[in-house]
Amino acid sequence: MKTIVLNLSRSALWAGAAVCALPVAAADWQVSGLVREEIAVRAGGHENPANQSGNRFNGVTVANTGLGPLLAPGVAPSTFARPDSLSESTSLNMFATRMELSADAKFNESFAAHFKLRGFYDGVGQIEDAYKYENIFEQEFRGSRGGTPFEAARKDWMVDVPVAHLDYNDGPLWLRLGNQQIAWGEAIFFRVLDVPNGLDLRRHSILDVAAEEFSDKRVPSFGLRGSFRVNNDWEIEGFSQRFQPSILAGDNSPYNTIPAQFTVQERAGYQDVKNDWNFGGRIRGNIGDVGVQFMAVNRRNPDGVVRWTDSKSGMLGGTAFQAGTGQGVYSSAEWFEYASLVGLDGIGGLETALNEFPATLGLGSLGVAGGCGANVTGNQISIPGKAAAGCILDTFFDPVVGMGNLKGHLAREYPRETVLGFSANHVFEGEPDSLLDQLVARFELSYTPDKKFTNPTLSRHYIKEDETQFAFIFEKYHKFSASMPATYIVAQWLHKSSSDLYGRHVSGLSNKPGERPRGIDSFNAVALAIQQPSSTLEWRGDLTVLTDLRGGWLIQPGVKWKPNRQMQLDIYANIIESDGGYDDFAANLENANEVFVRGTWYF
Amino acid sequence: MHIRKFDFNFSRRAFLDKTARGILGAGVLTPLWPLIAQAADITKAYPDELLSIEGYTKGKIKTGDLLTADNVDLVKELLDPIAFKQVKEMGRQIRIVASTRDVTRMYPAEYLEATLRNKGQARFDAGGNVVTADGKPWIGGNPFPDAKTAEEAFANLALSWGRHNNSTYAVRDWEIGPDGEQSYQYDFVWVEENTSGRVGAGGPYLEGMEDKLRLQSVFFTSPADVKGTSYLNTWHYDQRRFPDLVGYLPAFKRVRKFPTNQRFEPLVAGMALYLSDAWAAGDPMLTWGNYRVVGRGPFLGAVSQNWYGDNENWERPVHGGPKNQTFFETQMELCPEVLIVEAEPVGYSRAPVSKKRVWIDVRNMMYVGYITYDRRGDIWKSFEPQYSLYEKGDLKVMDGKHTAWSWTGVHCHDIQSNRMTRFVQAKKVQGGYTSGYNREGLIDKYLNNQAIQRLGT
Repeated sequence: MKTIVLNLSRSALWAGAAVCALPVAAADWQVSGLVREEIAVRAGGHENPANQSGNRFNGVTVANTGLGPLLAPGVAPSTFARPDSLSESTSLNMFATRMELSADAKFNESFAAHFKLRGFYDGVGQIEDAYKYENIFEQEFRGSRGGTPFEAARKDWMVDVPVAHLDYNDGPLWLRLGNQQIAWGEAIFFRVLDVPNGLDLRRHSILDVAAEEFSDKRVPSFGLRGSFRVNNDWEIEGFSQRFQPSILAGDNSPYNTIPAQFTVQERAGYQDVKNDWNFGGRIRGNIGDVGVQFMAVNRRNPDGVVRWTDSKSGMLGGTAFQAGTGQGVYSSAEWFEYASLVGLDGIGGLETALNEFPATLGLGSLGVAGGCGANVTGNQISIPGKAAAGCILDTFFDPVVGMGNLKGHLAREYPRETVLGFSANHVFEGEPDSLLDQLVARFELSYTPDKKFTNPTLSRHYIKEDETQFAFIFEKYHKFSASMPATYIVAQWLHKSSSDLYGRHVSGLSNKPGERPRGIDSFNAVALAIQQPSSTLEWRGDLTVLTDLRGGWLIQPGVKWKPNRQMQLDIYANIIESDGGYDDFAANLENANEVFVRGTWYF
Repeated sequence: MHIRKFDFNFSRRAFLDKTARGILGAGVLTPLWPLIAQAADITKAYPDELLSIEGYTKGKIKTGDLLTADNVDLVKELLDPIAFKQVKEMGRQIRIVASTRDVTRMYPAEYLEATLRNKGQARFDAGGNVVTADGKPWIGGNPFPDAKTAEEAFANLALSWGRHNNSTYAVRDWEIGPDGEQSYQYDFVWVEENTSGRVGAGGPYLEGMEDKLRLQSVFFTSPADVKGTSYLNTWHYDQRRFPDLVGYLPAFKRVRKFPTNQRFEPLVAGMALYLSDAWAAGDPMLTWGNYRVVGRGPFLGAVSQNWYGDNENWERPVHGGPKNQTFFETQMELCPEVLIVEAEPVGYSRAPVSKKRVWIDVRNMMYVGYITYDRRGDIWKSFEPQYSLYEKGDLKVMDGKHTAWSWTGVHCHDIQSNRMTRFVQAKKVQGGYTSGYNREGLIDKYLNNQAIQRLGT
């Protein structure tokens, strides 16, 4: 506890010291907050395949295609089976209580300060045995186990200060110093220009109410943001923020998307860059009736890239694998299936794991590869196809001639990159009730030269490629009935030249188990959001639909009810479907088919 | 003493005659505006029966009396139908105060000076917008102080809402449900700054913004679920165009453009107030049409003695309704002459409103009553403003060199659902924002995209 307190205190001093220098006693303070229960009930048959408890191979018997039966006939097993005892069924994805406390102070016409304390407890582990011992919130970045310097966390709770900043305004100048989120861009949900901050995926992943976008997800960071209004039409803005990585859902937690047969080593990569700063600037203004924006951001990519790394584990130290956990990959079939599921190259990944880690030579990798029909040149192995790869893998997974199930170790790193972008928007004026009547059209584009992507082979040689993203956004109020408020409709199209919605390189997609991925040319997604409030705004019905046009769908219908000042009730469903083609964004999200309810009490 | 030389029905006949003949100049005994120009005293323009409630009711109701269910029938035709129903059936009480004869107490001083100075210089251009004789945007004050047409009367409302160059209204709002319970309570700040038609030193236009009429922002400071919601409207001078609207929604954490043609919807949950309702002229004037004068005569309006400067935060005692909290304590006086103007929302498809009826006090050409009708033609909502000179005893609020005049409170009553939105211009609201007028630097502080982002925290 002492460590937590020290870390939080040290961080808070950044903002606190500045604030305390002001005449605090003379400030107007406003304190408000909320307490919210958030419950998500699974509504589909799929357990989370990325978790041990939902692994698709639990209790499934597959053939041992390795050399074991040849090398140790009658001793080596002819089949493999992941223990069915690992399976757990779940009915809840989230059972959480949130508390937020905001304090806003206005010291005078120039100075103001804003703070927010956020506490989040997810008790799903108290109800679901599958999550009883699983970590949802802790991170390995720092001693407080929090995701940011302003956070403390344990496996089922976190407390942080996402807002702690001082504002200064004098005429056209505005400065904001402290822990803060920065949101840029025109598109909603599609992050073409919204690049300053990463996302925190621990609290209901990205599956909260779509209309709330990433307000609870952007990872705050300490920094200075400044803006100068040149005239009525033009504004220059810049920021510098300490680097903060996107925060992933915990291993084996309900919304985990990284297969638990991997261990992601995050601390080393973070330590290398934790004192780095991101920088950005933009110019916003109007040219006639067209609003325009030009931006440039130089940053450490908060989402990061991953590669095989040394497990530093026992006899497999120096390789990317760890044996004896009982929670690794048990068979080549499982290896191939999960590679496809997450957009990796199962065959290439094996080659890389062998070729880039000389320690595998000591395990007889060259001999096994040769025996399985792979091409061996010097110390380099080239695998011709599924049969050879499966043979090599199953030989290693063989508990008699190999090492049994193996966990893979990944290192997460954060390459520096420069994102350039611009956007334009225009409000059309047309005849009443016509299509163009007050139609808001937006376009935004970003270009990232030499962006580094995770190699589908998990090689340390990242893919380096220019990426272009753009989005068209159309928004309109349309009044279908005089007795109801207008319906708000948003339609968006996202195009990404090199990666998908999660940032996975397109060359790893369209990926049948056991085959090298065919890749796709580019990624496209279309979203439609509709909001229909009641005449008093006491009720609001929402419908959001997202598809990648490749068989992945997220459909979120829901209702918000705000009967009075203190209370709010939200009931939404996440309907997630994948056509199983291993090329869509929904492939390993189907477990999040759910109904979620939020009851909020504001004070 | 004013000599009683006309019989009781003289004014009624005079109003009927003027309406029938299309004569719309103010004043019954003599034209009003020459009197105002000379001494700002309207006494000689009206007979006794229009200058005091005693005169109008033949002594049955006296200045200082409370209007209640027991006596409201005596003045039924002086109230809009919803106000009458509130008093007759819902327990509302209204204090009658003396009629204001000195019109300097009904204007911000500089606005009245501009009105008098610029009288006769306004006309409509081919597009229907008010311009000066040389075709420039309006130069301040009421363009048509002695309005002769419904369009002229409405132009007086449309071109300068608060009648100061800028106003900051710290607004405390309560929503009263059909059961009389308070369902929501909001604090918000409404800031408006005219960029054309300005009064006082500095000229009539803000440099570089002559093609605009005003900038106006609204940002909510409480409760937590709406805190930070902020909008900025940039009004074009051309009243055929909708304002440009940008907004900051806390969920999006950034400023975005929004469509602005849906103006018949609540701003936040439970609120009966629509954007369209602001100042009875919340929409660009030429997006409405079929303006017509449908009547004229006396009216009871809350135009004086409604500032509660000696109360905590300028808030008001409440009464009436099922839980005795539906209505503000309110003072009304007999307005000797109002124009009754109707208009229709011709620029809005499927508007839930079929027409609005507005009562405009000819002394200051400010509306004192406003009712909307639904598409079936049934009465729907009222928007009842209350105004005052901001002085009470030793207490006084200045708008610069002069005592401020402004609105002090509003009842907005949806009579069909029986929801009441009532709000006051408070001294201060959550977040530390205070009401005030003609302040320096408002555009930098509240009326640009950067400010909306900053306020949106």
